[in-house]
Amino acid sequence: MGWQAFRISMEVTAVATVLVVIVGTAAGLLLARVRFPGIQLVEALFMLPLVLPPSVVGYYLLRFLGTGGPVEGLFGVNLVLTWGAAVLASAVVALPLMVQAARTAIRGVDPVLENAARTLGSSEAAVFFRVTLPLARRMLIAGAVLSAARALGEFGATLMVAGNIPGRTQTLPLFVYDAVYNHQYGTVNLVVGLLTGLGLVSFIVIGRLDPAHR
Amino acid sequence: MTERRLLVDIHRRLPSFTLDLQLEVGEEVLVLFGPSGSGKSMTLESIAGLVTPDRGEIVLDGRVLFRRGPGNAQIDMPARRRGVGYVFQSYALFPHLTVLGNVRYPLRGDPRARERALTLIDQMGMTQLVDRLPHQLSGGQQQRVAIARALARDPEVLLLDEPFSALDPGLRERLRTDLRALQLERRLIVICVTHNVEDAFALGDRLAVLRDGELEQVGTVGEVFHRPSSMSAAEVLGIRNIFHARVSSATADCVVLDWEGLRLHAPAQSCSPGEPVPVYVAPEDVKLLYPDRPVLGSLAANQLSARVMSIQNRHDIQIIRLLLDNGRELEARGASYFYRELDLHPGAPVLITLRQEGLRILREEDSG
Amino acid sequence: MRASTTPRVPPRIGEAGLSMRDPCPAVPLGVESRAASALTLFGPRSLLVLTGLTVVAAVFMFSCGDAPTADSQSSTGARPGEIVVSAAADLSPVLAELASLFEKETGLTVKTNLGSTGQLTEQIAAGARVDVFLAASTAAIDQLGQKGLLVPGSDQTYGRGRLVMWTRPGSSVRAKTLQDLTAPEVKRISLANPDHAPYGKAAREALQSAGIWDALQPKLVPAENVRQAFQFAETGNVDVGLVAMSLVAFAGGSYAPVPEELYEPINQVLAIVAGSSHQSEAKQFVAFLTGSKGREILQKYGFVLPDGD
Repeated sequence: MGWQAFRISMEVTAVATVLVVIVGTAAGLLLARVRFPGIQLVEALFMLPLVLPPSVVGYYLLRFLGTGGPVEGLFGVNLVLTWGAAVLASAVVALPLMVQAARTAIRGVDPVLENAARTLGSSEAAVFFRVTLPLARRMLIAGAVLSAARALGEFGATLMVAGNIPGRTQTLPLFVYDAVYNHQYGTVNLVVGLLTGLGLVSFIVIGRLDPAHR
Repeated sequence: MTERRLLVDIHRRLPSFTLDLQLEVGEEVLVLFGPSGSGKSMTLESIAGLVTPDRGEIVLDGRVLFRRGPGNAQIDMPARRRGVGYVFQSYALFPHLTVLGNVRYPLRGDPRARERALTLIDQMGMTQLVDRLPHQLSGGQQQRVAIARALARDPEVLLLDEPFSALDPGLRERLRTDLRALQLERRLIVICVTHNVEDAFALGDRLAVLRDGELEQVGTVGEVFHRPSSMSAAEVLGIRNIFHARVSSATADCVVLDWEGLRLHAPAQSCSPGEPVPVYVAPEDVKLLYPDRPVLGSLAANQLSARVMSIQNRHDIQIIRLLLDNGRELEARGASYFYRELDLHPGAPVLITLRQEGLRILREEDSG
Repeated sequence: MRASTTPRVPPRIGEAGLSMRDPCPAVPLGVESRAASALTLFGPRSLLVLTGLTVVAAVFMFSCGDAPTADSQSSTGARPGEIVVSAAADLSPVLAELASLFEKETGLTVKTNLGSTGQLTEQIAAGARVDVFLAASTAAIDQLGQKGLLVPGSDQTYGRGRLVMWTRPGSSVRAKTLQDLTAPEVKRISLANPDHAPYGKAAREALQSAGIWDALQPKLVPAENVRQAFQFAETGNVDVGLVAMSLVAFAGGSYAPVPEELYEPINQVLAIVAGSSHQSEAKQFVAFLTGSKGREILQKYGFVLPDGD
């Protein structure tokens, strides 16, 4: 059972991180480079999951993914108690971290370089992919690592909206929760050690990526 | 082959002033001269398409790059299609690409990109630096990479923003020569922004004096400097410290000038004895001396007596107009605290000196 | 004005002194980009670890078996031959045994989703594709039934849970009657949350009926649910746990039932969810649970069965 939880956690975290990196980088680009009225509100909305309690996030997701919600309306699919819900729960709590990192990273790229690229024949997309992105890479990777670590540790909202189904939605954190009650302390210690280790590795990697530490 | 022309007519409202200028530039080097904040960079950015004026028109060789105004069809060609090369003041080399990567950047999609880039790099004499990263290059080298990169797509127009401001005089001279040669070889329309008088003289065919967003005067360099059309233009150009002297002697170490009776020592520059030359000394290089303090080094050579005519205090700078024994005037500029202990008032006698390295013989381009 | 008419000499631009033109230049090995290559960024060993993790993740992503596929049907409900059973937390050990036996007998797979009854109710109300719901209170079933989310008539009470006082193995504390709880040696007592957990409610009712609720207030440690209450007692953080018998039946230690007349029955109610796409399999499971084999197991864990004990 621990193995299954590990596999599910890896899958959920991987997919959630990919989603978060794409959406987060786009949002970071928007917030860093475009001026529009209401930008602070948009930023606050992206940051919200960081401060909302997991129960509130779980509630929002339940409404969002469940009957009568937009997801069911648009796609005809109910994601509650599915693997997809676990991915979304993890993604939502990890997103603010990526948005912050992306925004800082992109801000850190000298806009004169982007202007130079424009005079050298680059379209806006080319400017982003050939100049901004390579120069912001380190911080973006750090953001991705941090988001992945956060996604891996998601618990409260996942429990509410994806349920605790071993083999389907039971991620490692949920597994630990159950295992403690079932006195499987041996396994618990192993898993806890693994999660702690992953957390430490994440921060070491981030530290090496952060220019301030070099 | 008729000459290409760039017609610029832009108007843009800014918080501190309004930019409003009309220019026509042919295959030549036009120097855009003016103090900081006068709109020089904004003019370049408008031509390049990085900034959109409120209204006006920019036409290059018959192609409309920009047009905006009441009743007109709006055109705003994006920067990438204008055929304008831009060399930024900070060079703006891509730090994550090598010299080759930088020069090759604009040539994406060209099957012979690498070849063409290498040829350009070779032309600039930088072949053995191809694999270096920008931070491994000196200022002058970075400058040349920036120019090579800007020329990679064979633009018709080349814009340079303070290209030589961070370089030492020897390097400046060499690069100025290179730039003129480039302009000739490629029949470029070059607009160069600077606030350095020497660069203006050496580089420019014509000069446009810009102040607070408006053109004060446009003409050949010699014309503008000798016959400034207004006090305002003259102020911008710092003309007050340009004077005419005759070369007394020229050796490998130093040139001696005779300025209407005053004997001055200048650093070695190419000139011939007996030749009348225009000489420029920056106001910052005119120093007032404290009578009881020793005078060192390059300040010792050109000590003159003078009389204070007027003193102006601006922010933390003092501007002192001086009357010399030969009846001519010079302006000195220094921080307010420099001369606090001297008793300065109009009419006061002072001892001044001209820093030897600061005396520069101006060389103009032949006109016509 | 035109540029000077005296043509300048060689079109070659160079900076004398800094570079001499090589008459026969070899083709330089130009490198496009020195953007920190992966090796300089991470160092060979950590790169290996990261690659390893990525490969592991990728392998798992595509491993067969329970890996979710893009098939929309399978990602939102049970696959053919599989049912999802949402069950209240106190059923954890008994459900494990029931499910395993059922799987052996029928070859169907049972996916269990444990949680608090309230949470499970919310999930079903939000349209989760659950097949069978085992609740620890009639209220939850009624609520869903009113919304039309259950198969009408499928709801039935399949047993009654029993409240017990439990002390862990090796504990010297005596808890045989409710009065024992008032002894000074009993310092802390855990129970499930009396406001929303059925066993907690029952515990409160029992203590109130016995007239010792107020006296015991300072000793009471409410837990999130009955499983957590049990865990507090099991780890020694409290002296006595007021928990479900089904949780302690095979847990060692010693337990004493709380007299049933002191609290409202804790009815274990089940129902088949209306939105289930595996209704026949669900019926099979319910039949098993209420059949002889199921009842035998339930009884083992201390549930009181409907047709007498």
